[in-house]
Amino acid sequence: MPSERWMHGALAAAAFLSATAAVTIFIIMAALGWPILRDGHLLQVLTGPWLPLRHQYGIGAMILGTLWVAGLALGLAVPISLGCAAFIQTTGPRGLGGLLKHLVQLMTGIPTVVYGFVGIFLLVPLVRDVFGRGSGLSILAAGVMLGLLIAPTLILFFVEGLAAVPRAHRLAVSALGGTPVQQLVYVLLPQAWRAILAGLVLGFGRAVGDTMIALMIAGNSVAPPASILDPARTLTAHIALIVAADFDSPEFRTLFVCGLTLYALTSLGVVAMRRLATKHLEAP
Amino acid sequence: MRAAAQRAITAWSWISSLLLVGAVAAVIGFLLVKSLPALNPRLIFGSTPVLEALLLRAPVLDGLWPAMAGTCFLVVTAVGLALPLGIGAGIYVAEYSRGRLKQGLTLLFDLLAGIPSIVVGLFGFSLTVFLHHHLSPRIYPSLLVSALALAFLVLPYLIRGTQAALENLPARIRVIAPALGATKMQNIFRVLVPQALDGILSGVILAIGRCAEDTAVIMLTGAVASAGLPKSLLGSFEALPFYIYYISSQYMNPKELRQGYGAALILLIVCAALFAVSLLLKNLLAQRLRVR
Amino acid sequence: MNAPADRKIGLTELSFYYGPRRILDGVTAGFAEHAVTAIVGSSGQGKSTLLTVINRLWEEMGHGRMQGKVEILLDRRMVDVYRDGYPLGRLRRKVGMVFQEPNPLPMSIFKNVAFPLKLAGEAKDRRQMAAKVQAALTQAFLWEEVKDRLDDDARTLSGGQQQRLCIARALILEPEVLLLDEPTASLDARAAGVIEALLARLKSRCTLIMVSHYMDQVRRVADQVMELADGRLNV
Repeated sequence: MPSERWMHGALAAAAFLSATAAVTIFIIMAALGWPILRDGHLLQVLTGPWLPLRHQYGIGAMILGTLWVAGLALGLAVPISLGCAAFIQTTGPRGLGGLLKHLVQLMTGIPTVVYGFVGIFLLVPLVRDVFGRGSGLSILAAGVMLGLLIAPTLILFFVEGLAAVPRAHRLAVSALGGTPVQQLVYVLLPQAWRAILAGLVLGFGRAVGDTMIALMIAGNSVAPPASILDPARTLTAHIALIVAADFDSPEFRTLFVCGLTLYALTSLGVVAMRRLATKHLEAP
Repeated sequence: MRAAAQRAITAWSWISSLLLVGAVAAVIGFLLVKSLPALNPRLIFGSTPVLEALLLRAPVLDGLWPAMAGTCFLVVTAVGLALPLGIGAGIYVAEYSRGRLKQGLTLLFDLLAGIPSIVVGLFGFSLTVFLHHHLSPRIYPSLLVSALALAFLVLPYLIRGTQAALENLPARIRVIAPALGATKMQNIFRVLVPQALDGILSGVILAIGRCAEDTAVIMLTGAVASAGLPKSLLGSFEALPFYIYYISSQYMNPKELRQGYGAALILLIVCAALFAVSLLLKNLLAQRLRVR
Repeated sequence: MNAPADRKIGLTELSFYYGPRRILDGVTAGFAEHAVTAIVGSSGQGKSTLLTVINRLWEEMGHGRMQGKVEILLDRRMVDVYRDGYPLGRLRRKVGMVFQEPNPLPMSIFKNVAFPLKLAGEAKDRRQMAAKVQAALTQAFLWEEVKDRLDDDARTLSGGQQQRLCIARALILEPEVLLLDEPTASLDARAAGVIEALLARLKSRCTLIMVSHYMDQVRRVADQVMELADGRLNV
């Protein structure tokens, strides 16, 4: 039937066109950043300092900034998310566990700019007062807010992983006199470790890719950070700040290196997650 | 030893839950308290009478109305652009592709989903400037450019939502129409898609929410602090999330700051509500399929 | 009917509701010690539910409501398992359960059988553990078949072997009561025969309550038969 074929063609076109989106973005970034890649300055750009007045456009400090902020966010969010997931799945009374799950689901809808805004006026002064130095704009403040941003995603992922363990195993442990915590530690966690790892990778991707929280509360200083109380600039915030510069300047071109670095980081995460997911499906 | 370790684990699960709930409560509570004084029609319409503003007879200069309208237009345009592509691609992946092709397609969609929004914004901006220099000076960061960039951003939500909804349909529903002589296309459009509609809609609403809340993309592709109501697709525009960002560092007096809190609250409510609806739809679908 | 002195388990006016449906209706019965009591009845009558009410496992399985009294002779006194505050973990170690579908945990054969020891905090002396595992597997007529591959994953065993593994696992803590929910339903005739033989041996050690819908199996194995119909138990 001709209309069938036409429709099939339209659907296929939609799929292939959408598929080219990711590739297109990569190509444009690489093409526009090519002058830097071609001139062999890549290593310098990736590791050097950002001193535009001295014609040095290294994003090394920004890479560090991203790693510090994302690292702190994960370091805070993962233990708490595991605890919450355990509460929802096993240790919490059934009603409360369900309530917490719904709350966490709703939390995923909170926009990051709102976290950033509240961060500026609530958390930053708090950090400033408690630690007594600096302006409060710091990796700590950004890390805490970012952790709050990614925690719901982590929790829901962990909960799904724990819930996927067959019911027969859980009942077997109960029938043998095991407590919910024993169920969790001896059966659920060992079976769900792949899902947990996948959640970690997902959280890392989100933390690395966020712009507004870092832009608004991490301080945006170009000096490499030395402690979590120092301000820092992430790759994402850097892009947002420098975009006002002249389009043809070398300054601007380093933004594409930033973009490509971010793309590489998150794509590594995507590939890692896909590997973990398929292995999860293959398990008996 | 075992008992003590068990108690510690149980205690940790309670503590972390309380910490999480406390943190969220602090954020939302702070926002509520600070924005309460600003919650009145003046927040949205400024000193312009409500009716005049709604009838487009007078501009609103100091209220959120232009930003809210800008966000609305932006969302409708972006989702409108992405919808046919996203749903079409989702149907194709779920129903027509398999094996290597399917893996390849889903890989590319996953990669797209992973790209940070600022990189999408950078892409949109650079492409625009490039075309501005080399193609036509009329090409400039604008509502259209932002909508196109946002379409890139939310495409994966639409594709995944559609794909997941279709793939989760139980086998017994898939075989009804073919057993009666229907073609594959007829099965898809007359049975499968209608059955999966809740799930597909859920993905659409998720995409809407994502467009409404995004700041990074629009700040590079056309959002400005003051442009009035969006006049055309090729002009610059205001948007709620950008307003919030802008005000956070550029507020001149307590009144403007309070407006910022009000805007944050409105955005929070809108996005949380959209998200809740999206969840409800997904659950509705799952329930309906189970009952049958 | 048994005289109270011989009773291991006593049910008094036991009713169970699942939502609006009444599954058990005022069941009153006694189960003799060191005997095999079979509970028969057509499917869906609530036989499995009756078992889960005795070891309180229904509380882990979802929603339900229970009325009445369940008393078990434990530690030489009659304990009301719902009201006397008897610790749940201890109850389930004294009242073991074997399910219809064998459910080995995703671990080795040895670890599966030793698992209850770990749960009860009795897994300290490795040699003692190994001895207990061997004893349990022997009681379950499985030792000879697996003694050379104790570290293999339990799921590589055949259905009949898995079910005997689950029985060994339930036996290792030396329970006083063993609840068996259609233990041979998923097995072929030969495997079922092996299990029936070992059940006969077990009753000297504990009290067995077995749900079954195979009447000839019941005739071969049971000392007493009760029928569950319309929520009531009849001898």
